Amino acid sequence: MTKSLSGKLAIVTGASRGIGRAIAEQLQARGAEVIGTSTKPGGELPKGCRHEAVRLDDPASVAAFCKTVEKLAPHILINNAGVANPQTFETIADDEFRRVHEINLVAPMAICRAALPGMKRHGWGRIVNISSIWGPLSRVARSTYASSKAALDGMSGCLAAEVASHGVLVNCVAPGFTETEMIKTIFPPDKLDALAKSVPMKRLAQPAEIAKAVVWLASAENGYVTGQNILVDGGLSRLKEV
Amino acid sequence: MTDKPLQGKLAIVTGATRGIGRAIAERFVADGAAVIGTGTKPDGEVPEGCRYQQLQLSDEASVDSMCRVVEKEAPHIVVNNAGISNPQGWDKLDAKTFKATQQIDLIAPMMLCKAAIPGMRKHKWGRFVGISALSGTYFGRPTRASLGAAKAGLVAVHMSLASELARDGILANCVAPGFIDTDVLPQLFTKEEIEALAKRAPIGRLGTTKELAALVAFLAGPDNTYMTGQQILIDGGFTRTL
Repeated sequence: MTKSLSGKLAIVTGASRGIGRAIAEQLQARGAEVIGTSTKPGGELPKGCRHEAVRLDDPASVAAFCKTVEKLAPHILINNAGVANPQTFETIADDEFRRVHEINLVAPMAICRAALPGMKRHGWGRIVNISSIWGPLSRVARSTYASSKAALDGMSGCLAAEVASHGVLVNCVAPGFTETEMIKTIFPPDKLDALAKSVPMKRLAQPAEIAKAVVWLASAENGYVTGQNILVDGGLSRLKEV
Repeated sequence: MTDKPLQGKLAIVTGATRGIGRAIAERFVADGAAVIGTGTKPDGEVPEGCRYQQLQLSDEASVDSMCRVVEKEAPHIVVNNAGISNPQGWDKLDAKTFKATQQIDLIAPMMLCKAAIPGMRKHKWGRFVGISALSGTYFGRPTRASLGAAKAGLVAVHMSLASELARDGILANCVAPGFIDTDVLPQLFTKEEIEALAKRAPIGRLGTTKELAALVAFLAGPDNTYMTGQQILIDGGFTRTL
């Protein structure tokens, strides 16, 4: 394992489980110092991670966290935390739509903004926002989630254009069906099996597989990829067997 | 990432005597792979540590004999990099040049991929990376009808490969380079035009062949286990930004 991220400070939101946890672990394994967030004070993070509690649905909590981000001036920011709450279009409640967008879009925007002065000062920065295949792809009952994630990608593309000349690269990673707690709250076990079979690779992704792509984009190995939404989906978005 | 992530792997890189292909071959050697690099001349020069193989993509007999080499050597990784752009405006565009471009940029690469499949199936592991182009798949561009058609076809070939072989652990992706600093650029553009091109991308500079090779190394290496059927743009934000 090369310590290619030695001397780099990384912030990963939602680092207590799933994809965010795998990202935090891999950034650490490459030598980065990692600050992970979770909603609970003293949340369980990978060993060696520093913890910050932040509630992305609470603007005051996000504002306080942004102050911390400005002060810490991370080289790497991974906006990973998010929520999914499938509801068919006619049952969307305005407040729930707003809450999901607050967490998946408004808070990541604010955190990106807080990280930029430090990255510009370093003359080097990598931002990876975790988007979703629900954007490039559609499915019933995903309009709330899909609109928040598609907006995150739109925002990231514009941000990439604004900061590329400062050595700050901004990309999204769109995970396919990944074996996380989140997906298990959405699909019962028998549905999950069917879901896995619908993927050209015939299996779900493991969080570590998504994290590998995220960490590549966040590392110095990536020098010229910016403004992209990279799909790590086992072929789901582009391949069909009919 | 270990120091030698491609240890024990055999890679074939077409067009490895210069530019992007040479950088990919160098990177693969540095990552521990055995590399067969092709070039058009009988005695072409490839990076240290590579085996040289003459290959004329324009010549069906030469492609056939290379396919026998590929079948025998059973590479784990095939990078179809070599190509030709043959720019012609529509008033000059002729079927002969168009067909010759398809032979070099699309038909020969398809045959090399096909020849590699049995070996990859035996290894239960394979990675195809096609070097595509922005013209044809992301935007139309004056004088690039032949190239665009061929590269769009190359992407389609890789997507089809990905869809058929995903379940066997064989992944296929394309990389679309933006303006990369190679010896091809001065053949196509004046010095002033190259400087203007560099500024067209938000990042404000040309990409390096090393940066491109790093992306290919990720897609072709053991860290990529769930990305397939994708085309990744490495363009400093150029395509997505107006």
